[in-house]
Amino acid sequence: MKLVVGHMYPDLLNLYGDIGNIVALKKRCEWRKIEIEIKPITLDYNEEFADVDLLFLGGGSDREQKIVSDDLKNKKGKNLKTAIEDGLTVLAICGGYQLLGEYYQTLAGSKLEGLGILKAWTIAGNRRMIGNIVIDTNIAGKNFKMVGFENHSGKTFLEKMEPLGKVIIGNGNNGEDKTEGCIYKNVYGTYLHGPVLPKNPEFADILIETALKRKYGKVELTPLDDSLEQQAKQSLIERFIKK
Amino acid sequence: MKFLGVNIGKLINISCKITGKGGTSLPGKIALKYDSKLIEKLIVPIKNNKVIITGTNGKTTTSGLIASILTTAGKRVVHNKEGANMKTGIATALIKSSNFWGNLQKDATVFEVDEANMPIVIEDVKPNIVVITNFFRDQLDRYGELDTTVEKVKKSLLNLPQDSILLLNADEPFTASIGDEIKSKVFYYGIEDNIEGINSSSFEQKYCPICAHKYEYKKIYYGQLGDYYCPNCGKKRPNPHFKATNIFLNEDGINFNLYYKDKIFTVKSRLIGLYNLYNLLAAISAGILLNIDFSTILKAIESYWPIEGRLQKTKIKGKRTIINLIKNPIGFESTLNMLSQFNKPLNLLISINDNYADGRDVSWLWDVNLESFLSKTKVNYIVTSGLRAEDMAVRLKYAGFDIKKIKIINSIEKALDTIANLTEEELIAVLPNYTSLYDVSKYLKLQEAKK
Repeated sequence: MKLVVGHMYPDLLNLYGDIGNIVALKKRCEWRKIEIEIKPITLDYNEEFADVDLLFLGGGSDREQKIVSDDLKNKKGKNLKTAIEDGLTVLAICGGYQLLGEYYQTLAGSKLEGLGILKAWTIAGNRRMIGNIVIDTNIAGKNFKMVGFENHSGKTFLEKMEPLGKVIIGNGNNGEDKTEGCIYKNVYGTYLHGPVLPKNPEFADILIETALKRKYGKVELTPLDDSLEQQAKQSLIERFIKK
Repeated sequence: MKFLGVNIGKLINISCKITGKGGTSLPGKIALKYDSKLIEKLIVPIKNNKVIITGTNGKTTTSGLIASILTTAGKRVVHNKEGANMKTGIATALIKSSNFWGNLQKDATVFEVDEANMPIVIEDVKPNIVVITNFFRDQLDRYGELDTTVEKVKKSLLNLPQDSILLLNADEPFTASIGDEIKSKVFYYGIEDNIEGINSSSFEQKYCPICAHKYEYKKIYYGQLGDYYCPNCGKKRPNPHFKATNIFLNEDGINFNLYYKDKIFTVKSRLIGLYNLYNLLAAISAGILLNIDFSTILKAIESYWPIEGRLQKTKIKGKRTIINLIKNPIGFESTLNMLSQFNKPLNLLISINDNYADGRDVSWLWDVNLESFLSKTKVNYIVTSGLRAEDMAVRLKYAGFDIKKIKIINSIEKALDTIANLTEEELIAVLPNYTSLYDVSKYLKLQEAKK
């Protein structure tokens, strides 16, 4: 078995330790003897995402975000949308998550068009939502808590879309409706940095399994010893959720 | 009426001493509440030799070196040497140096200033020289993004007095760009040598401020520091006025030649690591610009030894230990790189807190190239400590370190005890982040007291 991970714009989108997500995918495959290839997808990539099983799209600072947004809208967007409708597994974080939505409305009121893959939109806010976040999630039949660190001022709202989880501590999508993230087909959008995958190995495995299933049919991942990761997660949950 | 503010500050300082709490900011904080213009009032007698140092890394060492140069030259110096670099820390340093009438009988001030506090401090201090070391990602959750920080500092410099001098690191593109379109007189320092650069994942891409094209590099020293140029419009690294060449780095120190105008000076220092070469270069350049003669500068540099927690050599339960503060990816990587160059077996204690002063977000641990360090260095045990000991342990697991050799001990005292007990012949390296360092120092003082 081989998993090909497309790392979108690794030279432009590299905020807040998000590279840790790639490290987690790589290690969790290696520990199971699953072959893994990390394929950098840069501005000059013009293919149809047919050679990629799992796509990672992070966030960047404003200028990088603008370059990426132009490239996605003008070049890669159409192919990406087709691949997603066909079941491509995607993890999109923060700025990347916002880009998959319909639009981003700036403080001045103008609307920057997104890819429109998610029925979600983002409105610039005056308050930066920074801090630790804990959510309750139920994906792929598994119920568990996820922890992370959020850092965004855009408020995202969903329309008839399933959120990734329910906020227990923190702000999530918009600080108002207790939703965090978004799930559409095999796309997972979230505001969780931290990085999210090594902090939440269950989520990392769901992504790996979903991507491999699409390629190979039935797949069962060998369980790994995640006691260290769970200990780290548990210590944060206990610290932040006042009993 | 500076009398009242100063004495309120002095009273608080005394009470801090009695209660044993380090009073590096509190006296200034309270005194500023009574008199918000206190810094401006107290600093009036000092006309020359007012130096401000800002930037992400190297502030404390560079300002320590400059203060040492001025002291060696016979000046009486006010210096916020405990690293309290917000407005309140600067007020505290001035209060402690003033007499009860609020009179400051000193000849020079050397202040390291937090980037975000620059606008207000520049206005109050009216410095003669501003030194900027570099800009890296540091506590982004507090300041927003790197460009915002650079812009904020640049804007603060518009309020500099007309005859002030700006001293900038030419090799760091964000810092050097501050010299564009600024009215003050600008001097640059930089490296011109073929030393081997450090492969680092903390590279921060800078785009040409003229045409927005990506900068390319003829040579990278570390992070994004190097000899860069814009392939599109031809803008390039400014030619440094102060140049370091013939660089020789090892475990015992740094030697190099410094070129300024038509002169060559030979510099020797006991500081270690490439990043300290930049600190030396900045401090010596500042010394020359302050018209201090070179033999005095050299004397100060040669005898300079870093303060607590910066490459501090000590013993824990009789075991050889080196302590170095780590507070951001590039600082962490530079430290690891230095340790790896020692070519000796190591035991590490890494302590990570996430208090406000540390930055709440610890995701930066994943931006550190631990994989490269662990692949080329013999490390027997790693103890992780602090509020985020578990997160650090997870990072090490994913960097490929054997988890059986990781011990998670949140209490720093117990962690220090443990690492000493685990150690036989290895060198212990204790790497605390900002507020963890405070706990490490407390432990060392207690150990000293027990003797």
